[in-house]
Amino acid sequence: MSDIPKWKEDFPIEWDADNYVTRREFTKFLVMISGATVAGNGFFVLQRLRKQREPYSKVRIAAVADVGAGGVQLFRYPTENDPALLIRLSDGRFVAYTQRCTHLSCPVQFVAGQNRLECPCHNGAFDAATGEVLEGPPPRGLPRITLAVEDGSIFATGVQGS
Amino acid sequence: MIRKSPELERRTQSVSALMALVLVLFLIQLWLITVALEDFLAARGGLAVPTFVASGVCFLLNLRLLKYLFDIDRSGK
Repeated sequence: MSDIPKWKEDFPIEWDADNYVTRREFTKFLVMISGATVAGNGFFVLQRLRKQREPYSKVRIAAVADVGAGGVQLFRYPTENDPALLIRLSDGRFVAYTQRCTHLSCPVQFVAGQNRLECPCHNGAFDAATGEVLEGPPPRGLPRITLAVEDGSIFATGVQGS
Repeated sequence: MIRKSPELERRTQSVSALMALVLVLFLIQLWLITVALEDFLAARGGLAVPTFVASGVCFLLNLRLLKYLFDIDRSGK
């Protein structure tokens, strides 16, 4: 008696032909997705070009006298939807960072005594002097807002990656 | 019982090899887009163009392999 089940005798399948068609179609699909991936990379190039065309504006955010050592002031930059923190470190220097945590965008808070910014959502922490990650889940440092001090006023002039 | 066709078997092997190559190139592209995304989120942007070019090269290679796939198809007809 044959080992082959009856249904296979009745409906024989040519597996090579079957494999040929499925693999060929899958390969075509992969090439299509490959094109979509290039388009995705193109999106990042367009975003970069757009940023280069639209330089950041210079916005007055506070007077030097308004923020004492260890003090902090909330402002919005570059748009009204981007909260940011202006911090005066204990050595008198001004620094400013985007307030959104790089983990899941919770607002970070300045802890003056420890000279660091903490995210209450998942206990991430950043160095207030550099914006670099000290601990927790954030994958990268806080984007830094560049500042200029002129005539007793502090101006935001741009945003840099950490 | 169906007898195996050596010609079909050869073509299936060719398509399998092509599929493996396309898959490898696609995985490289996935890695490149991940790098570009990470760069974008970190507000740096310096890797946007190099990753786009590299991904484009992978896509062109994939198109070349796809052409070869159509050639295999035509040779079987």
